[in-house]
Amino acid sequence: MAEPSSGPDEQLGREWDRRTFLKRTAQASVVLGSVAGVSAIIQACSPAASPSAPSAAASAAASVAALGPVDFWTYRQPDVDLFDTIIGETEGPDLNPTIAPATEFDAKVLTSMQGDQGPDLFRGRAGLGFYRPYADAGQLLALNDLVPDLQTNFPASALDATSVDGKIYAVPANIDVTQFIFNKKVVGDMGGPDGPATWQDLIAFGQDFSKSGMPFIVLATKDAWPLQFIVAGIAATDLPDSYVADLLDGKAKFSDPPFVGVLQKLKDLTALAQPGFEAGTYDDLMASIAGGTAAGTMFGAWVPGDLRKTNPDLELYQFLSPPDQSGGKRQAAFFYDGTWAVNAKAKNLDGAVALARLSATPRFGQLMTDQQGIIAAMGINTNPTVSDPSLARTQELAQSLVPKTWWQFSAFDAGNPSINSLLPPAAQAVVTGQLTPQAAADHIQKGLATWYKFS
Amino acid sequence: MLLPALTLYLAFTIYPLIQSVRISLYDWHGLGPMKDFVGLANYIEILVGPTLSERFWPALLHNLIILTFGIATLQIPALIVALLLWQRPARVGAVFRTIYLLPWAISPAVVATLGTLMLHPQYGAINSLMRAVGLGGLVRPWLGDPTFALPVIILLGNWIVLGFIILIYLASLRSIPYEVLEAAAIDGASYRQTIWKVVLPLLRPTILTMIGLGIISSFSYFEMVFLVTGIDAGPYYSTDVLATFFYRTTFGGNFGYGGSFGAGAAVATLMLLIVIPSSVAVVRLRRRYDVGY
Repeated sequence: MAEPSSGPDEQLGREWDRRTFLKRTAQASVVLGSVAGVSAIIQACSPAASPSAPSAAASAAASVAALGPVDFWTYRQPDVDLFDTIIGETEGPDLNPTIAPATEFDAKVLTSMQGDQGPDLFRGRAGLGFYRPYADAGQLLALNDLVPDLQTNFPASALDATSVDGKIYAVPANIDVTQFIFNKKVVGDMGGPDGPATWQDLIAFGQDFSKSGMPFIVLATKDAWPLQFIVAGIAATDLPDSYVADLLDGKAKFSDPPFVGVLQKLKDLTALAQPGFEAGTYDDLMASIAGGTAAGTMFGAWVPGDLRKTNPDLELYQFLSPPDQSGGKRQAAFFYDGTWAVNAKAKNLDGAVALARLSATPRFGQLMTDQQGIIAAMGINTNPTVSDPSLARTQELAQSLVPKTWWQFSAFDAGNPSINSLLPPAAQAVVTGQLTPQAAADHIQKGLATWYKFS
Repeated sequence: MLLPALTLYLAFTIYPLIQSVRISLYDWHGLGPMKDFVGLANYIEILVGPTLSERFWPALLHNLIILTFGIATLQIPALIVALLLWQRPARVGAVFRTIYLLPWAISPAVVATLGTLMLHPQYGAINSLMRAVGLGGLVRPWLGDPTFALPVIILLGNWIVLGFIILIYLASLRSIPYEVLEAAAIDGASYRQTIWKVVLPLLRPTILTMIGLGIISSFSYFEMVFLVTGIDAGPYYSTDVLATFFYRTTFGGNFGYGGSFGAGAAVATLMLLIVIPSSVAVVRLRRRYDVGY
């Protein structure tokens, strides 16, 4: 038992301390509960001021070195390297970079912008859904007149991805093209440069390959978001253009057989996936393909470059999702990815506009291709030199883009819940067996139908 | 004398609370002025609407699981360990206290990363160990399994705070006057009787306080889920809790699309409505069972 160790005075003090501590703790609990529940909302109370005119920016001097550092936010270190390079070449303004985790980046930008504490220049997303709230609040600078290269260097579809009511709110960064990516040394030839002739051939090849004990497909299921690339990649070939057009017009539904069939194919791939794919992560995916312990996956255009950075000897086998019938049309899913947006209330507006101008130059597009192994959004017009064979292959596949896109940053991302918030969890549920493909498709349709007009 | 404290309380507790309730009555996406007053529409959407209610009720259930599972796997073991340490010589107790308290000093981000690595389905330590001892049939992708993902995350979180809870119970045990225990011994009480009839009743205020704190931390549970399974709280929302639901509702999904500060504020208000009455009830209970030596 505990030993007696105190006199009456000390015990009295200890009694007070203990009782007071418990009482105060209990009271503080209620208060802290209140504060915790609402603290995230505090910043929402800041009134938004009207944007100031970028008069100085419009007349930015040729030498921008004296403009002072530009606060630049991104979730990718390569973006900082890219701007550092172009700044070094042009004596542009200094960069004061902040790199935030991708998962919280958008929330961080949003809350800082509404509190007028946002960055001068930041990596934005694409699509009406992203720009409409910022545009309505006057938080972003329209760049139509300030960045003349936009109109000449970029395709109209890229500018559409960053525009609201004709005003261009950001410089498009890159275009993403979804494709099957395999380690060629591991899988060999699956039927020529375009891969298997049909989907059935792909599955049959995968089944044979899996007998070797090595996974044929790596699925990053725990992270959810990578799964939508597989859905979109399969859908690009499988969904008839007319069906996608009808989807966008609200005349067709995601719960219709064509889209359910795409989700079924995603489910079919699980039979060829790595053990424990349900908890597989993006890092697992990259490490196993680059390390030659798995054959491949389906993913976006940046992945070949990143894989080859991990393993420079890697020879990649890239192709689009094969059709059901031999000789059928193969198409690539795409979306315009990051953008460079200027805060209308930037502390260094001139510097931010100067960098936005630099980011719209063909040289910047070439640097992006060279450094990041991705295709600049302006690349369709400016044709950067591509020396990397895997990137050259991506550029080749980009010749077969679908005419209209339904997934990331499309019209289905302009409301709440968006396709971006519905598709990854639904695909995850299909892969883990929590929902059937039909139930997952119904879930997506039901969510979108709350705000998107379907007939 | 009270004015400075009252001012701070009004500024940092009452004002945000009122603002949160006000925001919840608007359709507002977080930028620009609030113009679209929608009354209770956000609450209706969360409680019975076609999409948000599908996520709200399961998330609330997961918070209740965290609460009950947390009491079973945190409060009870902590109390048992504290009772065991209480009777040990001071030097031995100090060594164990330090060992138990060490995780408290580790960042949750580090714990989440290490935990994720240990639970990796292919080369994680847990599955490797299970295979090594002949339990290979039981290995699974813990964080990708809808049944096990949430309990595993709760256990990871418990590992961090276990030492702290032990310390609280131990401090409370140490404050029990020796005379009380001696009287029990003189009356012929066995060790078990002393624990059940004397020690635990005297610990009741502490236990109730810890349960009160447990309720609050259970309903504000966020970081371990966010760090381990991300904002989508997968697989397919099987680890979703009210705080991740709040975050997603307010700020949108992975790419910041579809966020609504109005609906998010409504979620926050509902969380308060759940937490405050439960906390007040526990505080009143604690007062009822308060003991003085």
